[in-house]
Amino acid sequence: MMAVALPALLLPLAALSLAWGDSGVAPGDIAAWLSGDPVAAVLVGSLRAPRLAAALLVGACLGVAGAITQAVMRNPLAEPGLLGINGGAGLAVIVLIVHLTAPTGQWLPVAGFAGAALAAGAIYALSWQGGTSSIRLILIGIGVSALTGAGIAFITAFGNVSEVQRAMSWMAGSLYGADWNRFFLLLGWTLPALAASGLLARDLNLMAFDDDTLQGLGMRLQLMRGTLILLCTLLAGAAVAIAGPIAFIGLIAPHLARLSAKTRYLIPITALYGATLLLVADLLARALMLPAGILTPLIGVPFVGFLLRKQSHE
Amino acid sequence: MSEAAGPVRLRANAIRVGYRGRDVLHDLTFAVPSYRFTALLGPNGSGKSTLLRALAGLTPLRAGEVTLDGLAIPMLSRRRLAEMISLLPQTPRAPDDLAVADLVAQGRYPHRRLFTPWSLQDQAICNDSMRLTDVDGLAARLLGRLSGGQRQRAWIAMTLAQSADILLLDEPTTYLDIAHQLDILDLLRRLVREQGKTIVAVLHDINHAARFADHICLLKEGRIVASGSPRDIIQPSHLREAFSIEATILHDPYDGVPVCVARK
Repeated sequence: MMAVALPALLLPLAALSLAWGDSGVAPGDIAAWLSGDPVAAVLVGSLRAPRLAAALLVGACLGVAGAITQAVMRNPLAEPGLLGINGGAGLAVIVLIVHLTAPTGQWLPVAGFAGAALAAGAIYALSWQGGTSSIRLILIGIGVSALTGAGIAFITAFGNVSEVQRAMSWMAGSLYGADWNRFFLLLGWTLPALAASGLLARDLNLMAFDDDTLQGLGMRLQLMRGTLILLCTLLAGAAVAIAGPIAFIGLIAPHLARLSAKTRYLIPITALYGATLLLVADLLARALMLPAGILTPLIGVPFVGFLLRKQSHE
Repeated sequence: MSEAAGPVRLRANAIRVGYRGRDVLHDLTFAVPSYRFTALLGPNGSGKSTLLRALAGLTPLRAGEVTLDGLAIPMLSRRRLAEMISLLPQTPRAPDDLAVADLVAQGRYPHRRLFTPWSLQDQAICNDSMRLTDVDGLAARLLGRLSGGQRQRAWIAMTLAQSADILLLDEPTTYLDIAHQLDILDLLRRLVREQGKTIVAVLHDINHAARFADHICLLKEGRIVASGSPRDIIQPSHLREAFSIEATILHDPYDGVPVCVARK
């Protein structure tokens, strides 16, 4: 079954990603890079390898963030975007590009992360009523996402066309232009959050239970929920900062992981699926000369249909 | 029940609980009899479930305190509390694709730290819990595929796996047919007699409480109307006061247990 075989595809896909350049697929490039050829070192080592590494890491972060969102919101159709991550990042970036005219390139990831964190923080704070609940988080998440969407639409309608164009291309979500500096920054940022998510896998599985049962079992529910939302914000915020908003990976990866494995290793397997999915989307994107963020819905929408069909059968 | 009950461990002292300005419990005091099966009885909205949740430390109190072994509940960590009190809510929720054994294993949650591996002792306790509740044959079955009675027994197995001495159950027999209701109540009574548990359960059926509980606490509008043995509590005057019903009390010729026949 495809769901089981996908991670096994990771190695050949990664090799393809390294070997594929403007002059077609050349497996010799990898060998030349490994044997120290200076041209291959630039092509493979400085251009293709960081893009591959970024795709894998961003995909893994999005997958794990999705697993956390689905657990905290107790909703199989939730994804990090529902925590305001994409909307907040998009709004911050478009404000930066259109309204602050200083050189903005270096600041895009910072603005993206700050916007994502602000939106997630606002959703968490607004849903607090002596504690939060899954349903309040979802409803306020939808509200805040609509609000940021309206903000983006407003600026798009009245901003300078060429600046809006730049912001829109960022918002399409792409791994183009990933470099080692950014990758290692992202790695240092997200590795602790990924590890913490892995350690909390047991609690994450438990979140599907009702509040009273969880507290009866001795879980400090509000602390756990807050911690999980913080981890999700760190992971998805970092992903959006590097690659722009990329939809559906966070939705699909946890489902694929659940289809193919028992819950104990859910987090690492979800990360693996997220990485593979984004790598596939990025390869397709390169083949079609489109941003990866435009292609993930093409994979995602049929999958949502599949989920619905599966649910109606059960 | 002739042998003396042990010292009271769980106690509500003049607790007042309210939601949005309306008090649900009015300065209520109740000492949970140790090693007994106590039934909380009363009409809808009388505060039975609220009292149970307050005893579990899940409800903020406006006044008074709930104490466990003399310590106010907020002084204890959630985890420490969970080692001593386990709770089965009215409609507990878990994923339908969870196997019974995996559900029961979650009962060990308060006993495990971040890096504590699953131990043989954990497994033995889960196996015992499943055997006591007669779900050991269903260990691999998914929750979504269980009947109502089996599912309720699986949940009780989970609360048992918590190894707490005190079990609080909110309407454990609701939505079950009569045979399964009796089955669950008999199980609760056996847990008290054979395992030395202290049980408090919210029940709806007066006759079930009369037959299975050692102690009945009758509530109305957030106050205790009467509290004592079934023979003392199942009386026309108490039932009139709590439920506003006229009832005739008969005694089962088989074993002398009081039976309430409500006339109007």
